[in-house]
Amino acid sequence: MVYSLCFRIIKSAHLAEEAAQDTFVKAYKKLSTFEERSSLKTWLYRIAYRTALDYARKKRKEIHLDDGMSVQSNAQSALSIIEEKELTQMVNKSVARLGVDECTVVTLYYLQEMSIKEIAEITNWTQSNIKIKLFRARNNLRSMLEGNRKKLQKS
Amino acid sequence: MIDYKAWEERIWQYFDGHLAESEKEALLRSLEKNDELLAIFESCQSLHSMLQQDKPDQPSPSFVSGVMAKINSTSLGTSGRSDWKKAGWVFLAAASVILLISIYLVVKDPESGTSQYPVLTDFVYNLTEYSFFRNLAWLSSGLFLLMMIDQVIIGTRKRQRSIKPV
Repeated sequence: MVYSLCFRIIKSAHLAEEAAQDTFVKAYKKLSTFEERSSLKTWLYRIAYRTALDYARKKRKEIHLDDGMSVQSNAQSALSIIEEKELTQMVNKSVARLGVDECTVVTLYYLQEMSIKEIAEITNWTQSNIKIKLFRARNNLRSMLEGNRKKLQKS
Repeated sequence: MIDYKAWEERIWQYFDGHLAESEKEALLRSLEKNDELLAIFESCQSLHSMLQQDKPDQPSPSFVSGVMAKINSTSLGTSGRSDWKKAGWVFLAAASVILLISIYLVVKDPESGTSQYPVLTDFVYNLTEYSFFRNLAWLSSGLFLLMMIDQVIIGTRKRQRSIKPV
């Protein structure tokens, strides 16, 4: 789960693995400083989020998404034969195309099944800010998927 | 003219479970009357269910062993460093205590200018004739005090902040 968050933010499997490993090492080292102001899970994800952001900043040039892989490859297959698995892949790719903030919110909300309050604790954003980001992210995803569908229908 | 953005917001609130019963009914009634809204609703529903079914990405099989290796190397490195640090502090503390006692014995009887320990007095006199050693003595004493503060105050804080079971 920690790896998933890192992967979605950094968008590189190798670096995400490093970031996730660093997260656990940092958590191990800082365990004595953990205070019960939040749950252990939220605390761990806060470390993961910051570590992933650091990695993403450092390796910005390496991690930018290859646009060619997202839409073009899918456009070759017809909509009628797209199965659920392929649709899920399409969603994953669309999520990966979101900005870091929106991607983080969607991942924590859907994949980690966290509440808005928990996400606020991890990211230090306000709850209303997170709601706005979530709304924008979902709308972006919807329009990306709609765009994909139209392209597939044309092809 | 229908404000679709506001409706979209409401539809997402519906899926998030943030709408009251009366608001839900009003939304569903509106969907029956407006095909465009219904299309938006279905599109949101489809995305919502796809996102809910989304599965976590898996790291490589060597992930856990990698974490353990990193933790082990960190622990070893830290303990090695802390041992050296501890030894350094002990040496410094011992040196500063000896110097402090020596200085005290030298200036113990300033009127007579004599000391109970003439050998030690001579030794310290010779030693402190050089400003380097005098400064070293003061520096050691200062560091010794810092060490005591670190142990007593910061050490206590660290102990107080230690983890409690969740």
